[in-house]
Order: sequence, then structure tokens, then C-alpha cells
Amino acid sequence: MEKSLTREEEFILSLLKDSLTQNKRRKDADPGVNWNSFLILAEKHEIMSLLYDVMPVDMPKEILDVIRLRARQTVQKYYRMFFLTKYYVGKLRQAGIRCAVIKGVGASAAYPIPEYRKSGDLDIFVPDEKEFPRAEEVLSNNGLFRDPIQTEHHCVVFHHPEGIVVELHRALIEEVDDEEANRKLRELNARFVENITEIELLNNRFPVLAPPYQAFSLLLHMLHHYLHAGFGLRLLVDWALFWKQKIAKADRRTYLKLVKDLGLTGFSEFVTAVCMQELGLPDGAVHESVAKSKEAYFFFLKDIFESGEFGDEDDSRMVLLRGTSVFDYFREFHHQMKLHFPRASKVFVCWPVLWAVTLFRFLKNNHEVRNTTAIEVFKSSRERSLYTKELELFRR
Amino acid sequence: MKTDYMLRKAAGDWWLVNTAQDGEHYQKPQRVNHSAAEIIERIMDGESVEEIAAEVSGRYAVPKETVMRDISELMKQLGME
Repeated sequence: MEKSLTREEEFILSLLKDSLTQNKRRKDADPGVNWNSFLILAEKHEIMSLLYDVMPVDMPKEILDVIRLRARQTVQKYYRMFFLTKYYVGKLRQAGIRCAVIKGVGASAAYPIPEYRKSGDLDIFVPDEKEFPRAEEVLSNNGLFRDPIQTEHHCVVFHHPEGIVVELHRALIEEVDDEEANRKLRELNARFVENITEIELLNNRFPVLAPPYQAFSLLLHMLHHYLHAGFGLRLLVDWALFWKQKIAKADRRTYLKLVKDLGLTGFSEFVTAVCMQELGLPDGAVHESVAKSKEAYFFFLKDIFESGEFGDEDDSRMVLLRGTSVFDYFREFHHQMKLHFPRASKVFVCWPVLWAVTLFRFLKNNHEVRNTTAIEVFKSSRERSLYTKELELFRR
Repeated sequence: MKTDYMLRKAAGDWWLVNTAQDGEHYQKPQRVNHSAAEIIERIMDGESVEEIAAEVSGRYAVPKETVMRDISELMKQLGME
């Protein structure tokens, strides 16, 4: 991992801050920036549209043109996703199913220009497990195809004929390697059902989770990606903009209690610290104080840059360990086994066989799918895990 | 004028969005230029086509009837009649 931010990374952060704080004063183009690298980075993090209104006027015209084109495409896609969300949420509600839009249109409501929030998928959360099978049926009966291969356990993936992925979530996050946290998350689903509210956006109303739970869902979304391959700037922007809204003190207290109960205060503080330092989130918007060691802060920020959008850039970044001891490696391995074999793993005599199959699949996928090696994966995981201790994940 | 449409500015363009559509049969937003956006905004604010045409024809020295015809054509194209 590089020991400092590149000029391009620094410049993107400063422009994003201008965009999020709606600073109208345009910067001069930084002559030290390599514009091609800048474009690649902005594309990788899917924040091109947010840069459009704050780009320096003296930057190369061909770069401005690319940004404008991408921003326009994001806006067009946004409208498509907006009305598709309206349609499917409408169908679910007509069927009496309680649901909430997570991420996508729901997160865009906090944006000064919602159209700038890039959305790839449509995510709908049905917290009541009893209503979930009916929700699957409604989506299947209304033009969506259920993917025959379902790899996630917290959601069911559907495909729209236009190629858009629709994810129906039964939980906000895949099970984590902490049984207590998983138990608490399952219990929370009942509270989510009772805490669905509505937002108004472009003359339409959408069901979303109430503010503390929506904040919690945004944090869990980041955590989900962080534990696997990492997350990029777009989710950080979601976080900063969510908390820049006027959030009632009581809602903030509820949120803080939720993360404390789950042992995610450290992670929440890190994410918030980056948003305060780099994206102009005011002091005290979330936590009273977010003192972090400079080294860990830097690694966390650099990790975000190197992740890109959901860490797809580096195939060796597949999992995150919560430490670097043999026990930490084994815990993650065992957790992966349980994720892949949720039923069989309940019978502990099967574990040796399941471990062997998991190991075989891990090695095979590294070679054939990720085009990397187990050693590279371990090396990458170890590097990331060195600073993870400061996040105090699941420490209650 | 009560309308199902909304005029939005994003990525340097004006977008006319039919916000009342149900999402099943997607109606793409129309990207319109600045002059068209100005006229649409005034119509949405309740100004009559005649009032707008009179002002625009004076500004650009174009016959009022021509402007009225252009505005009607624009509204027809945008499905805003």
C-alpha cells in the first residue's frame, strides 16, 4: 500500500468536498494532476456526476467532455431506476407487503441533486420474514426473473429484462463472523418493520427506514463491503450527505445506541472521521469525538481509494481479517464455510468435510475466477487487517 | 398550471420529467435547451402561451403568431398539451 495520497486522490477529495458543501467557487486545475489517472479514479469510484458542477474551468476540454458525458448518463440512469423503484415498490405495497427502499433512490434524497447519485441496482428491503415469500412472488409475477444461482443469503437476486439487477433483501447484511451480532441483527428486523417511514422525492413518495435505521443500514452496507473487498468513495458520500441533513437529536441517540449494541461504534467513528476531515461533514454531526491514530486513519482512507466501487479492482482483496493471528485466519475460514453451507454447518460432525470443500473452492476460485493465488489473497488480507484492530469491530 | 411534469437541472442540462408515470411503461425524460426550459417553466408557473409569445416575439423581433405556433409545437412534442 502506498504511504501517501496521490495528487489525483487529493484533488478528487477536494472537489468532492466542494460538491458536497455546495461551494460555488471553482478551483484552478492542479497542474500536477495526471488527468487520465484522475478520470480512471473518478470512474472507478462512480462519482463523476458529483464532480461535474465543480470542475475547474481551466482543465483540459476533453476531460471536461468525458465528465459531462458520464454525468449525463448517470442522470439518465437515475430516472430509469427512480421509476422502476416506484413500480416495484408500488406492486409490493399493493400486495400489502411492508417494504423499504434501501440505498439507491432512498439514499439519493439526501443529495443536493438526487440525480447525481449513481445507482446500479434496485434494493428493496422486506424486514418481515413472513412476508418475504409473497414479495418474491410479486416480483416474479411482474416481469422479473429470479436468478437461478443465488450466492447471497441476505437477499434474493432478480433480473429485469433491461439488464437491471433487483435485490430483494430479507436482511440488511450477510451474516458476520460474530454470533452475538447476528442474533441482534435478526432481532432488529422486527424493529425495522415498525420503523418504515416515507420520503417525498420528485412528486413521488417512497417508503424508507426511519432516519436512525436508515443511517444504520448505510453503515451496515459499508461494513458488508468492507468485510469482503472494501468500499469506495460513493458510499462515503452517501454517509456524509445523510448526516448533513437535519437529523433530530433523538434519532441520533437511537442510531448511536444501535451501533454501540452491535459493536460498530469504532467503524462508525472511522467512517465519520474521514467524512469530517475530507468531505466537510461538520463536527458532532454523528459522534461527539472521533479521535483516531493518524496511521490507522490514513490506512483506512487509502483502503477506500484502493477499493474502488466494492473492491472489484484488486482480485486479491476478498476478505478482511479481524486480526493477524492464526486464530483470526481460522475464524474467517470457518465463517466462510458457514456462509457457504448454512444448513450442513449446523451439524458439527460435518465440519471437517465442509472445511475441506471450502478450502478446495477457495483455491479453485482464486485460480479460475479471481485469477490470483491464495498467497496473494492472504497477503492482501493481512495488510488490511493490520489496522483493522483500531476499528474494534463487534467489540461491545 | 397543474402538471405531471417537473423541470430539473442536472449535469448542465434541463430535463423535463413526467413524474406521474407509473414506471411500467417508462417515459424517458426529455432533455431540453435553455430557451425551451424557460418557456416550459413559465407555462408551469401559470403564464398563458399568449403572454409568453408576446414577450418572446418582442425580445427577438419575431411575429407573435410564429412564436405561438412554436410553443404549441414544443408542448405537443413534449406531450404537455
